[in-house]
Amino acid sequence: MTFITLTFAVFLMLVFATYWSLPRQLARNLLIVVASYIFYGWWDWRFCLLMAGASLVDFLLGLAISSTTDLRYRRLLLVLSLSANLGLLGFFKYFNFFADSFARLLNVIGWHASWVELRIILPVGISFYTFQTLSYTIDIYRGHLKAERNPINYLAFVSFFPQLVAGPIERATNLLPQFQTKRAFDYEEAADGCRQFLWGFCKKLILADRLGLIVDHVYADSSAHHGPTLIIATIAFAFQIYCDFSAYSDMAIGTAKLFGIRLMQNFAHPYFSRSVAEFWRRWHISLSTWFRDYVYIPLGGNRVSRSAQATNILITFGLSGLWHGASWNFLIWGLLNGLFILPQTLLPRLNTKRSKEFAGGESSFPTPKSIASMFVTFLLISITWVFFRAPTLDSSIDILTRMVTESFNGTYWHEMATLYSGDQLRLLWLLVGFFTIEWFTRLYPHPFANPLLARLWLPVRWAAFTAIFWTAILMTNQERTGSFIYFQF
Amino acid sequence: MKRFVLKVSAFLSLQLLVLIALWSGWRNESHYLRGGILKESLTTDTPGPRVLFVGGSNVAFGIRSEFLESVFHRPVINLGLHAGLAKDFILNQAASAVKEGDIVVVVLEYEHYYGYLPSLDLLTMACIDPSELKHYSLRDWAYLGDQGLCLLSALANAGLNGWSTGAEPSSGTMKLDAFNSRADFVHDEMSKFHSTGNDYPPLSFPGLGEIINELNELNERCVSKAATLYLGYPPMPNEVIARGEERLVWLDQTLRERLRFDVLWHPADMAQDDSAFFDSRYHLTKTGAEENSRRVLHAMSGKVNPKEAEHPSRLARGSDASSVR
Repeated sequence: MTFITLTFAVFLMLVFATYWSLPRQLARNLLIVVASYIFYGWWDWRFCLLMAGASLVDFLLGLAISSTTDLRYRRLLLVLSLSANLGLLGFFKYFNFFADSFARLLNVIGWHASWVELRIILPVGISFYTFQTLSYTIDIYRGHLKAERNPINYLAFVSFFPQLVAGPIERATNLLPQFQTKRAFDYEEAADGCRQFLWGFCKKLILADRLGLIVDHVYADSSAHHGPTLIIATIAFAFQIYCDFSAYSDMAIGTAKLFGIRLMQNFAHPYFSRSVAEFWRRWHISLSTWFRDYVYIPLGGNRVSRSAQATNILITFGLSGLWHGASWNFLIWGLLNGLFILPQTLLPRLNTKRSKEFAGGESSFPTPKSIASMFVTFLLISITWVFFRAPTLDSSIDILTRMVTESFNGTYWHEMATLYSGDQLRLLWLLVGFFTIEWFTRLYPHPFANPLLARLWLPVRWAAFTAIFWTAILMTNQERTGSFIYFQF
Repeated sequence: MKRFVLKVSAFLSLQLLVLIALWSGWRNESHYLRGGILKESLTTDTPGPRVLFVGGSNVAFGIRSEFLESVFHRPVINLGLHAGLAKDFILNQAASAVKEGDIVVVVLEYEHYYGYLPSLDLLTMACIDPSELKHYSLRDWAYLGDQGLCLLSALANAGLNGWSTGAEPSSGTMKLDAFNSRADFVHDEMSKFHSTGNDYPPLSFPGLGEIINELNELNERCVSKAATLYLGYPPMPNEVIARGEERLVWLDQTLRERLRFDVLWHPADMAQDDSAFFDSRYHLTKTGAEENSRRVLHAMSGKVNPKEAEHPSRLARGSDASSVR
């Protein structure tokens, strides 16, 4: 079940009504668990068994870790938890990749291994909930969190349906306490949740899905297109993945607010970043901070020598790439991002202010320097997106090569111009409008949270919401509706 | 909470009003799926015992009811409409249509043996004639919910188009007026179909076990109403049949072994030249349909009216079909 379906609309209304009519917190949490398993089982009921098994293992290991002070025993239990979670992830996500890579390596030295490639279906969202349960046991081991003794509260934390399949990846320290305390209905919070959901819904249907048409057409057969068209498609993908993924996060956060649950912000206007390092503080924040806290800092973080710090950054970004999928493309994507942030991380004079930093600067309009920095950052990030989107390493390299070598040929630009007509131009204007709105509302978690909107006369506000909702419906791409890019991870 | 629920309800009501306003602009008076209403009324109004032909558009395009009726001496109803309505709808519609003493011939497209393959037309059908919802299975409803936004979009766009132009979207030959009074799809002006090397029947039939169970359940329903169920195969171009011959022979053998009722003909029995088809490998032209109906009649010889078996010479006469429209 996905957010962009009528099934979800009916499901949400039923769960919402039942949830707030239940008097006890435990009953509400139980409802969340049941609803979440229905939500998840809508894809394939077998996935539920897997999630239940993984949850149970970490629940028991969490209890065991917290019940002893013996450091060696605690470490052993943590290793068990890591092995179970990463083993599960490794089997479902990486088995074929490593088997295939190993077989190729053997071929190079003259051994011909014939591997039986298992037909493994990747359970939706496995990378998200595995990382969530991992953070739970690690935090208990570190003493940052007490083990949850109530299995219902714990299962609600792992399976909470708004963020189950595509994040934000919540920390137990943030989400679990919310399931342990009684929640009261907050009108403002719920209304804001609806508005954030609507914003995400429209962003997905109006922009992401329509940009996807341009991207899919070109990347489906990249060799048939020339440099300028590949550049346009890559830029379109940069916007598509942002609009798609941030839309999902908006809808997840909005839905959670209806149940009195606050999820962490996952995107903070990343394309207004003035450096790649800043971009990674604004893009997929829940995953970036997860890797920072559970990989980068334990490796030594910035408390080590410059060379060790550089290595730690590359390891962290390499793993972050592999988290997305078992392919060389994702690994290179991660490493490239790591490489791009090295200069800024290692040279303190290039480091921008972190606290209180506004996306794109504090002034109402960006300064020429900010615009230049944003442009260069976007350019570097777009280069990495080629590896993320292209199906193979060879095609990624071919696309990048042709983007450079064929871009000085006027004929190809003319050819590209003939490919795109009124529809794409309208989309361009919609994008310009979208980023203008984002720019002027960048102080808020989403544009509809702007207090100016709340001050509008209700009929005017509703007319605006109705207009944007029906624009989204009328622009729905009937082939793409329902799927989100990050479901594949 | 009360304030929130009231405001959300009011907002959703506003959206519903917008939807109704847009929907009312949708012109669908000659939509192909309106043929379903005609078929539904024929099944309700025609007293039994009858011969019902059930399936997707291969039946709608391939059966000449009046011709068969003239030989069978009992009403023939062409229930075929569209394979995209998926097998649950097609079989449920057949089950509810059966009357005492009926003969039911199910001729499903090969894709139905592959699995449950619904299309957005399932949703269009519900909008055109909500009474058809009674034939929808639980998974049809789930599909409706999962894909409903696409329909909402299609409806809103069609409605907007209707309001701005006042016209119905063009659908080529696929129009209601191509159905004759017997609910057979008849059209003279048709482009010819050319099968390509890519045209194959499904490469495998993973949904075979499921549909065998469903067909056996339909048979029980028929038996309980003293009706008789038969299975047939759809027409297909010779080349396409030849390319999938091995799989189709296997399918035929498996069905004959596991179904608890008779299969009337083999897949190859309904093969015709490309020239007998027009826009797809299942859609027969007028002459193709007449030939197909003659072959159906031949295969059903003695099944409907035992006396027919004594006069096989009638089967050779094509003139019965030429007057049919």
